[in-house]
Amino acid sequence: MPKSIIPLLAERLDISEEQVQPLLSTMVEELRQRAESDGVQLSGLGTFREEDGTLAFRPAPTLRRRVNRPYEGLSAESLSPATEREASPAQGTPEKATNSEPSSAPAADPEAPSTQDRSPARPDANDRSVDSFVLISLILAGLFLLGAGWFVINQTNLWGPTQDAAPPTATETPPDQAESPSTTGSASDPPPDAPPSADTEASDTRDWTIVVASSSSRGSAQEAADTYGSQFDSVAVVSGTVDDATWYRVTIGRYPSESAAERVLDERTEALPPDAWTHQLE
Amino acid sequence: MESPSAEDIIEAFTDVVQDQLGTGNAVEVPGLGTFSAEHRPSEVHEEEGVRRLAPPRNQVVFAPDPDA
Repeated sequence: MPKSIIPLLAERLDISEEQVQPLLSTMVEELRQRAESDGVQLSGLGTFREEDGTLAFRPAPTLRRRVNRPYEGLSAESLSPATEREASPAQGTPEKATNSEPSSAPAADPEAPSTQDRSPARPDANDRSVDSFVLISLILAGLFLLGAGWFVINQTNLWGPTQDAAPPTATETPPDQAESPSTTGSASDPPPDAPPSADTEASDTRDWTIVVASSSSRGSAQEAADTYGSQFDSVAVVSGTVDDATWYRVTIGRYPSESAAERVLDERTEALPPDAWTHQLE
Repeated sequence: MESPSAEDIIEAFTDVVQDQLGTGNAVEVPGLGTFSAEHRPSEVHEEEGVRRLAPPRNQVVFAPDPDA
């Protein structure tokens, strides 16, 4: 259910709703008139234009970025067969992934039917081929190993002690600092105007960064990070959960504020990809 | 408080729409239309034989006021 803008404007402007209505009507009338002629652009919002007798609106990049904060820095990627295989467990169907756990309980004891009488509840069990159990078991084992691997990696992070207490629904984990030193090491002589490194600052306050690439595959993200590692001295791969799928962002630098990150984004335009975005780490 | 200027109105209008869409709410502007943000889940597309994984997105949607 959409909210009316009138009370919101009244609150923002600190005037009554009765005062807002004529002001808003005047603005809307003016806006529609201009949209009919050349179109009208509102900075930070977008452009209104009359098209085929209908008022059309094209959102400004600022607005598009604002509504896509949770997904910022993510871009479409080509799926090679290898990438697809790697991406599919995290990417494919999260509902199925979660649902497989409860269903795995009966599936995890395939020997049980031969030793225990559970026939009323398991009439279909015998119909399943052995292959499906093996497949499910392998998938579960793989997921377990992946989880265990993540746990180990996170435990070895420099950030681990302060951040690894995030709840299971946490949308982002800190940069993999265990890998960034190698990247940093490869860039022992970074350009003099490279973004400042976070090493010397309190990382708690430097939670803004610049995202230069993203991938659903950690390997692909690391490859991109290695590429940028020769140009910048603070490159990291940050994993984040978006719509129950894991994405890996390649980040450069750590900054205390969004404006500081955007300043570097503007200053280093030639060295950064055109779709580089500022991003706040969680 | 004195009456806000045209610039104040436009700035507040922009801020309110940005804030509301940023928090997932739709905003109705009488005489103009309704702004909303619709979620587009991650999808795999195939273009010229190349499979591409598009990340999820929120898309700004504007529905003009039919009565205006």
